[in-house]
Amino acid sequence: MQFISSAFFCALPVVFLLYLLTKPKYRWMVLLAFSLLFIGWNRPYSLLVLLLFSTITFYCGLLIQQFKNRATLIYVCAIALQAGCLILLKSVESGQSGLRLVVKDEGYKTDMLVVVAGFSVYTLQHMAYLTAIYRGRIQAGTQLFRFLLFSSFFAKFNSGPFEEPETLIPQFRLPVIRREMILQGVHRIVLGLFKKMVLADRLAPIVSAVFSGESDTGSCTAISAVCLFTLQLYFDFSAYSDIALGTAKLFGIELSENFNRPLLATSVSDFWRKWHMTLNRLFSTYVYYPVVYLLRRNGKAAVLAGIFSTFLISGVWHGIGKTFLVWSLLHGCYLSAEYLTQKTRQKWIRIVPAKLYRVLCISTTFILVCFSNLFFRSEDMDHARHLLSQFASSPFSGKGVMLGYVSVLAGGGYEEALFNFAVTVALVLLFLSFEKGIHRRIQQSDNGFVQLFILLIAVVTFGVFENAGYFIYLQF
Amino acid sequence: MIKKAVILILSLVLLLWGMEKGYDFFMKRNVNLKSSFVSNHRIDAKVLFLGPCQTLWMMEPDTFQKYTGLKAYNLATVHANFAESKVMLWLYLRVNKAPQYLFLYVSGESVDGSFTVFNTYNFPQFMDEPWIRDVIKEQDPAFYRYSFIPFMKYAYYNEFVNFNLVQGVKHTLAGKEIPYFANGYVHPHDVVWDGRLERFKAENPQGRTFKWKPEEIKNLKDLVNMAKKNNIRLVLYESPMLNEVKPFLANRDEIKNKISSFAEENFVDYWVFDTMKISNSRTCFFSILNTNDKGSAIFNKVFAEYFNQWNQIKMYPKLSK
Repeated sequence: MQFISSAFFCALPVVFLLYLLTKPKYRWMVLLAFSLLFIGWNRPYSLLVLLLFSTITFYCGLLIQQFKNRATLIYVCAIALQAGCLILLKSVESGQSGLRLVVKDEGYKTDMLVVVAGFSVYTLQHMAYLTAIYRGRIQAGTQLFRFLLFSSFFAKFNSGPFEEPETLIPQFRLPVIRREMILQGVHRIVLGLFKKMVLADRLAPIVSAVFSGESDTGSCTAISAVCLFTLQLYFDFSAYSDIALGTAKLFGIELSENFNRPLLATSVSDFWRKWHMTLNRLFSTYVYYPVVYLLRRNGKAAVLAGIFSTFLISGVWHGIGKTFLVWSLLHGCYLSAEYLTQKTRQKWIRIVPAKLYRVLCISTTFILVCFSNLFFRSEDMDHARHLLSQFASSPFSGKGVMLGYVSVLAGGGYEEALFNFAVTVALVLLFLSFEKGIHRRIQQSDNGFVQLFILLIAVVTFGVFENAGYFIYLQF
Repeated sequence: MIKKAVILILSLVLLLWGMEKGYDFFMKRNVNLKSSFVSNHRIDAKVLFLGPCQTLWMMEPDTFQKYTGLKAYNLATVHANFAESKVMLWLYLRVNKAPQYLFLYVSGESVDGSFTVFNTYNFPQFMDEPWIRDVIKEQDPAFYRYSFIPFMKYAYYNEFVNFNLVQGVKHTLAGKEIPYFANGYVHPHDVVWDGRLERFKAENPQGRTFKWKPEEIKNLKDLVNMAKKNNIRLVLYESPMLNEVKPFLANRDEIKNKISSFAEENFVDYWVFDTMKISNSRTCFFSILNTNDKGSAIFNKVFAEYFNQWNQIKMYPKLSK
């Protein structure tokens, strides 16, 4: 089942009512039943894989805790199993595995994705869970079904946010639903629908026209498309998180925020503190800090090693391929350069006026992130190289897809294309200008009705309804 | 809070209902939207051209009128399948006299159905007509399911509809009566060679096999019956295509024969213009099936002359081989 689907929006009110009518101490059972239905809907194999891996993880956690003398062996085996399966899955998805030959059906990729939906999200959480037990940070759970709910909780199942058991499992025990939580939840869901259907999906055809084509586009179109992809990715993924947080809130469960206006980040490290926050927290806790700690006697090299190892693992988590490798190395280089030039930049702050410095920092960060996203979005390195070559071409040469939208101003093209392009740009700019206020009003539950109303009207007036259920991050 | 929520839901439903009525009103007054224009304005053409872009961008009614003296109108819409053509004719006949002749584009692409679609967003303003509702239900069931929710018939394809609405408001306020494309023909002057032939060859190295889809044929048959019922002389025709592509159309002759048999069974004419000289050169085309300015001028003249000849001798021409 997908978030933006008639099945989900029909089931949600029914499950919510059932949840309200159930005694608080049994409510987690309703959540578990719906979560399993959510996962098993049209993809029963996915549910079986989840049950298998969750059970293994649960009992491994217990074994690590009980058999202290063999804890390391059990821990290493359990992590190797999960990490191995995850890497295997990623290599199948990237078409770099022999499995492609075994499964002769042309739709192998789709089939594999159906079988293992949400796999990379819950295995990462499982590994974090086992590590936390191994290090003695938390106690192993004793209730299998509560742990199963932690793994399968529908709101975060497909693409996060990534939660740690100690923050989520206690919330299942006696969930309390307050009036303002319902309103905030609904508001957050509608905000997610707005970001996805009105902003991300209106940008999608413009971006796809450039990234899917092989013809020459001219630098103007190529650069614009790369920048617009960053916006699309942000709206698409943060929309998913909004819907996840909103639906969880309806059921009295607080999930962690995943985004905090990352497009206004003033440095790449600031960007990573505001983008996909839960995944980065996980990687920081379980990769970055342990590596830095391990190499702490090597001074700056320890930090650099921590940065690169974190991003290499993050790259592999997103997919096995050269494009993700380049993407992760680029971010490693950005952060390393930022770390090494800290003192120099401190001097600039004193020289350049504060506001100008902030604008420069935000623009530079945005450009750097956009550049790395070129590799993130490209099918392969040839495709990325082709787009890069377009950067160096004449601004208006070739088939300027982007220019097609505005060519009517020069006497050609179609007014309709210009109209739709202008509406999209206006909506994006309007949203970015009011984003902070929109989030503030969601928190003020009693003052949000007008905003909720406007967002709903915007969704039905400007939203793209076709393929709205597909989110970019579902492929990871 | 419950009171506020109820007020919110009620005002939302009311607003959406009002918006739907507003869209209905202004969409019907958009003269550039062909479906709205032909259903509200008297054109009373003697000859109609119907079909997808091959007709829309290639059949110039003024040229036809110049050579034949008959008033013509291009009723075609982009990518239209037979169901959409059927609805366009139905809307036209609502306020217009039935034409004497109707030329309908038929080819392997159109009976296969993979290259043509039903563009639902051309017709939401007519969903109060049960006949059109039925066609939409059959052609676009996903849209039809949601169309019962207030405003959803416009929300669903809003990226295609909003511009038409704005234009409709503008036309209403300005009292505009003549569309931008007055005779329905859209001149493809901006289009350069699109390079799709190379992609088509690469994607179909063994040649493309067209299907004879029953659902497309059913709608074609409906069109034939609609023409008969209104005493319209229907002619199925195929415009020139680039000769380079023919080796890659694996069952072209088989499909042509099937269309020919269909035409004979239904007592309609079938003209194929695939032996014209212009088909030999890319200089007369901007895509595999679309002639450019130069090619269209030649084709329209030949078409009109052929019509005159056919009309004069009052007998069926032999089917092209």
